[in-house]
Amino acid sequence: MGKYRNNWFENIILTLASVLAVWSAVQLATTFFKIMVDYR
Amino acid sequence: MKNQSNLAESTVIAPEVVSKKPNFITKFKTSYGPGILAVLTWLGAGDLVTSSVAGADYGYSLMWILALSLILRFLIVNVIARFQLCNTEGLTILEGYGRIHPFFGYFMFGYALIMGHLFNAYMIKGAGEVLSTLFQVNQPFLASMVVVGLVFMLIGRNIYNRIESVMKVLLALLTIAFLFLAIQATPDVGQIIKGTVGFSIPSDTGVHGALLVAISIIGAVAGSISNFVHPYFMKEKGWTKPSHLKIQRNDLLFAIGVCIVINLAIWVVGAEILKPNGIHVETIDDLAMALQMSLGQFGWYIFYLGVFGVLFASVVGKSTGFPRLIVDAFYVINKDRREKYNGKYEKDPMYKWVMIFVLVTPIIWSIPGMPGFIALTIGVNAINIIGFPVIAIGMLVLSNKKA
Repeated sequence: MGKYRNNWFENIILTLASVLAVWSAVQLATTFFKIMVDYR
Repeated sequence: MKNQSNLAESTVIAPEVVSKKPNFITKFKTSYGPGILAVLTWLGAGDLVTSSVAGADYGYSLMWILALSLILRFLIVNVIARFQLCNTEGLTILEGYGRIHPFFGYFMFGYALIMGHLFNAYMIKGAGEVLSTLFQVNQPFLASMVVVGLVFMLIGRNIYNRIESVMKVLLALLTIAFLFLAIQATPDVGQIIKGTVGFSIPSDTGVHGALLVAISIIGAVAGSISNFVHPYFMKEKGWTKPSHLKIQRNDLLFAIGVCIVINLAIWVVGAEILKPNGIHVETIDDLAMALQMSLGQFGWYIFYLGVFGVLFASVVGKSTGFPRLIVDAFYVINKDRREKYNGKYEKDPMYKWVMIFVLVTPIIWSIPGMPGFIALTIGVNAINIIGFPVIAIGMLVLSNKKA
């Protein structure tokens, strides 16, 4: 990509968004299994 | 002009159509930038449902999630566009992913197969419910099967290009109706600003949990696989070099601006019309109430016809776009197969089988007793979040490569 590589801001936001997405996915899965256990 | 969208919700345009005199859509394509064309593929049932549910259940308190998602969408699409314009080998972003590691090929293959099924699940279910309501037959499951049958017959045929134009007119009417209602409802600007910088998740007061709705908004906007569509529109426009970077960025900013206005209008209708009347969006009919209350029977027709237009066009788009993405991902895993069919998906029998899978299997979600359309839409868009980190990590690697 040469001089057209990402700037630091883009890298930070993409990294933070990935971490946030993993956290959200874990939260969703936890809530889902909690509901399933309560349902039983 | 040849339509080369791989992932787009756009449909296959046969070469013989291209040679005919330009119609309204063709003129539109040549006179406007790729950004506004991308907006047409981005906006769908996901935005309509997540924005209205968030507004009706939680007022403006989740507005910061929408702002964050739109910033992320700009950033992601901008990085993808820059990769397309500036990589020295002229690779598409998918080819780039394949070069990093074969894992990305396997991941994209499996992920797109599952998401293609799930996206069509809520769209076919919604289209069936709307069709059943429009004809007042109260047979949503049968209507869903009719939708699948119609899509099956129309895919790849020239007549669909005309039908798609009608669907887009219906979508435009629905958008205008929402804008009109949002202005008429005199939105509370102070509350909108407060919600945009609020950075908090409210306690669960609505039918759907606040965190689930928040994740669903991020999934529908930032995590949407249709964000990969923009480069194909750019290519059609002739923007292929680093010198197009500036015009591409401005065009994308304009497109994001359009997204803000439309999503905000839907949100305002939820917060200013549905919420004060104590209406929670649990079914499509609840959403129709907003237009019916303000515009009467005319609003009812605009809503149902517009939503049917959005859903039907999306089912066709997903049923043609996803098989291309899935086969493309398989070619990253199995290069011999790409060579065998010369990279032309339509000639590969696998393309047809994948299309049948993506179009027919989602009908099981329309069987009576399965989760409702609204719950399914929110759930599926939230699941988008699972694929996001992998896509983002691949993007980080690609866009930071020196060579």
